[in-house]
Amino acid sequence: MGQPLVIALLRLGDLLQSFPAITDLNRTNGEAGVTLLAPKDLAPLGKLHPAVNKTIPFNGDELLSALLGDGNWSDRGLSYLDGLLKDIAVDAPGLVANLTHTSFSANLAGMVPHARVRGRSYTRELGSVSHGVWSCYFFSLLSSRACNPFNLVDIFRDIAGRMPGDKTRLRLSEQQRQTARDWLAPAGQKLKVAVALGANHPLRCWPVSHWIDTLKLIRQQTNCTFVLLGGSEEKPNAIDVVNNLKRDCIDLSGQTDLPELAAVIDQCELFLGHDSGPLHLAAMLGKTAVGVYLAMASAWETAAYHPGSVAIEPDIHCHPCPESSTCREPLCHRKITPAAVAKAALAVIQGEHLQPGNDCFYRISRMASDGRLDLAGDRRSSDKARRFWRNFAVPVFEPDRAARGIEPVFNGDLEDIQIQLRNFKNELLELIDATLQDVRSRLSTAWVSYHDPLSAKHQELLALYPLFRPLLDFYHLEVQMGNGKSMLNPLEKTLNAQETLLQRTKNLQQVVEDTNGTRAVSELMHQSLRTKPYARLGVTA
Amino acid sequence: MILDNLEAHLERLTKLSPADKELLRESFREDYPVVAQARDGAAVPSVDRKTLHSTYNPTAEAQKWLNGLELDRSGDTLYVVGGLGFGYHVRELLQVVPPEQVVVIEKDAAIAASALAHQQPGFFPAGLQLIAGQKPPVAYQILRRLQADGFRRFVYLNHPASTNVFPDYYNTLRGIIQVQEAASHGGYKVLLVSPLYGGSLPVTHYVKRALENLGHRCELLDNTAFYPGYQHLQELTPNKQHTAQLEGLLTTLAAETVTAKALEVRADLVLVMAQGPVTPEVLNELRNADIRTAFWFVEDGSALQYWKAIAAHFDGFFVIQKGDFLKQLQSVGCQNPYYLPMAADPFVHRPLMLSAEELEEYGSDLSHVGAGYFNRREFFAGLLDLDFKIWGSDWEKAGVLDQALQRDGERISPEETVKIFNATRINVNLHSSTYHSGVNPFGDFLNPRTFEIAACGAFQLVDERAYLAENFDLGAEIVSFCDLNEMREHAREYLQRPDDRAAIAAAARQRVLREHTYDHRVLEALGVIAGRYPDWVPRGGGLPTAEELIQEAGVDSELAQVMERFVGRGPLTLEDVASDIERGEGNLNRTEAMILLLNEFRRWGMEKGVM
Repeated sequence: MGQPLVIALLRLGDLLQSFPAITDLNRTNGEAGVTLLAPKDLAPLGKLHPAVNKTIPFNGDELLSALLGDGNWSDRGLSYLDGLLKDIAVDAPGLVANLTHTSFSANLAGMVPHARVRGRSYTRELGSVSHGVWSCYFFSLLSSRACNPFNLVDIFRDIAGRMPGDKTRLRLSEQQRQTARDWLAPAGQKLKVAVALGANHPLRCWPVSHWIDTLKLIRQQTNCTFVLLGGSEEKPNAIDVVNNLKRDCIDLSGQTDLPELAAVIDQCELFLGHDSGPLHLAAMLGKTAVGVYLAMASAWETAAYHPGSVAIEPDIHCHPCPESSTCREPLCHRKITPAAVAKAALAVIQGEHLQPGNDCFYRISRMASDGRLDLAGDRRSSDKARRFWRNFAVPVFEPDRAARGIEPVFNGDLEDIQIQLRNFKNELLELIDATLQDVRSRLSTAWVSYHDPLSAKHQELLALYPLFRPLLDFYHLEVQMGNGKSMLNPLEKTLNAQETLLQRTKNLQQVVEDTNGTRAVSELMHQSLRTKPYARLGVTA
Repeated sequence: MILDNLEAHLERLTKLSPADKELLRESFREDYPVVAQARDGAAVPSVDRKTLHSTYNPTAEAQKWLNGLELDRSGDTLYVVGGLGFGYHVRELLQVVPPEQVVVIEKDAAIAASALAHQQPGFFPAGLQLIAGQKPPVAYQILRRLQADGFRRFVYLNHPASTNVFPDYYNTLRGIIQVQEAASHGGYKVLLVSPLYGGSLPVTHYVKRALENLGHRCELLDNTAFYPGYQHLQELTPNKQHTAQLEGLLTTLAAETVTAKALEVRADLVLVMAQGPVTPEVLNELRNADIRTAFWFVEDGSALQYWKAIAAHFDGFFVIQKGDFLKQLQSVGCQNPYYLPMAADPFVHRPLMLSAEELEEYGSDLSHVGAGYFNRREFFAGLLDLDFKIWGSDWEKAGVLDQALQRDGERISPEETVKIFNATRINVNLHSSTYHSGVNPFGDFLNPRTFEIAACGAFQLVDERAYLAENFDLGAEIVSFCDLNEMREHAREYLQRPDDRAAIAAAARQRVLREHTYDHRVLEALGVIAGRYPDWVPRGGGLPTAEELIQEAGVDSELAQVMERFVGRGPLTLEDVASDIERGEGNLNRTEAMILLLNEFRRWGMEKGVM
């Protein structure tokens, strides 16, 4: 069998966040290299990853143009796919990691002959299958991400198969490095701060005037050169910055291709920008990033995957807003001030402790003992659900792996949650009972249709038990998909999913009880140690 | 007592939203519909002396109705009952079909409320899904949301007595369901005929997008190619009679291209936009070719008269005015003119994040985008002491208005218009008039701007119009004025209340998204035509047949083998072929798998709006 194939038909930032997963996959397969399927315009990124031996560019525009018009699909559409599948088949991949959430990529994964799949695949025999619990988790997030405590990088890694080892070191050619050095030569020995002014959505972009003020504040405190990065669409903003700062600015907007962008960031000491592709590129290069997280950008999900990086979020209840937001006067743009961003940047530059933010939260990336990214720094009240699941998602959804170190990061009221869980479980039992009664009553009728009482109460349960949303979203997904059990009828799928939901609820109940018990003991011990400081050493007073 | 029944039913019907319940409560009337007792004692409503159930035995009649239906009894069908009446037929249907597979649509919320009030609590099951008092496209949208629960198709069940009372409503509803069922299999092929120039040209593009959004295939016949020729004729001779004759010949030529194109693309429908070139001869040709025709007259019928020559020849003639104008149309032989107001395209008309420079350029306290009609020139002179900007063309000899006129009266593109709407604190929307001073006291229809400003989430003050209150909630969604003094008073007041402006504008945008987009209008128009001509089905113009695909790919190819089973099935979409493969069993061959793969990419493209 040939080298594994990674299907990553993603946008720039997401594709970069899949890099550690590619490293894991390569390790799984004896470091023989990986083939990457990526959008054509991002294909050059493949060369940056040391494990990627080959990149297959996917030309979505060509396929779209083949489908426009009435009858072209049979000719141009099938020909394009035929070529693509032949390209994939050349290496006969034995393992496919599908990190894309579209049905198209699932079908594609299902078409690779004789390959095991990680992520989602579709075949006519089995229908849609999410291989592994993390793949299912990934799809459940499409309903709501309000409880999700995991960084996208970690979710990708868990789907691909997490492996221990050093972090990915991106591969830059000497020529790229030299080009970057030449561009940055005017900065001399000064500290170089990469600044990317763009993002993929206007609501995520902080006004350029704020950036100008921020850079002025940073320059008042430190002797540095700002390196302005971005596509040609950022040029007018970059010119604005240069005109305002007058000196110590190198404008490279619109000049770099993706590898050159990487080489330039690699030469800088700090990265400043939004939650964007360049920010994740900086993180993959091991650079500390200070990011402004506006509108739908959430630090929990896409904080830079590099310890010490800072994600700045506004202190407003509507953040993060939904992807569909059309907010006209975003308060988040005003809540985060130039002074707040400059403070974070200066703390990183000067290696100082970052004091809590005013009107904003500083979220600091840190690696937890379970190997996943966690957020240190300021905490917000809306973290409660995420903190809860940060602690309990693995024991509930993947009990076999749960034994590996869990940090006691949740400080919520576990006793109250125990009561909620008990009520929730009782309600589930009643609904499952209603299902069974309904089944019995229908056995004599000709109707094959089936209406699940638990699905009917989905919204009601979510309103009553918002904390248990991941359990319910998972359930909803499993009822819809059957997860590889396409031969089951809707009723059988429902019963299966109900059984799993009940088991997960019991798992959660157990682990919450255990944790609560442990914490109670631990609190007693701490109390005891405070009163008898030498007791631990066995010294009698 | 009967109000207790209503409340008990509202309490019991869990599928009704709080807004639905409120609407039903508000709609209840003691005197409408007229309720009498049938011989078996059951309550029977009547409207305009037409009874909605048998006056002898409604239950026996309902059983007979049920026996006449062909129910497929599969779990993935959603039955849509057109007409609730007092629900005897619905009760019978629910004996054999679970309530979650039944949706009842009642045009008149007062009838629905009366049904709930006159029937004993428990007559309607708790799971009954009822849509009452919604326009056909809005009712259909609600159905589509229910379809997301896994229903594969809709089956429309007609309640004949309800259709007898409200034929336009229920025929259109049935038509909408018919055309949208077709849309999932390639849809109708529509030849959309643009005008040579003018205000309905951008509307043509919005209509095209709506047709495609709805899943139909649209071919645009772009007549702007003839515009230079038209301009040339204007300058050719000062003799107005000659110019008119030459224009007529140009129109005839352009109209003939409609026939040629419609036959070439095998159109199911030719939809002509206002001022699009068309002649009675061409329309007769199209009728002979069994192609349906429709015209959307987005004009003031009293200002332009060309409708008189053509209206009688269309299968559907859609207008933006009601009342007398509909009667005038009927008097020239147009059998069924249909009121279809203007709308907005949320793809174009939307809230924008503008840069500081754009806000500076396009922004002001008050502005107006539009042409320099007589009444506007007079009215706007009374706003010059305010921060007021005038944008748009045809403001020659503007006089004192010059100080407010932007860019010397050059034409403003739709894209820039949207920026102006977004940047302006108060958009002044004064409907045009060539002979009234200021506000036209007899103005009825709403101009596109009313919907477009609202769709942008921008605030407007609009002159009073007869149809305003039926399209927007006055005060909560839109604010109107009857003269200059009131307009100035509102402007002064709302400039100081930015939060109120924002709240009203946001509510107006929601209303447009819910009821007034071009998707709604086009859906309604197609529904009207399909409702009138139930045998109107897509002929698959432009789509390949299996035979053509086999010939193209070669009879020995794997594609030919796959297509073998589709021989004789006529034109095929990718979705048709893929759905059939999806439903099959056993291992897929490579070509079948590629067809599924390609179709998934198409679905993704549709979802993302890139196709």
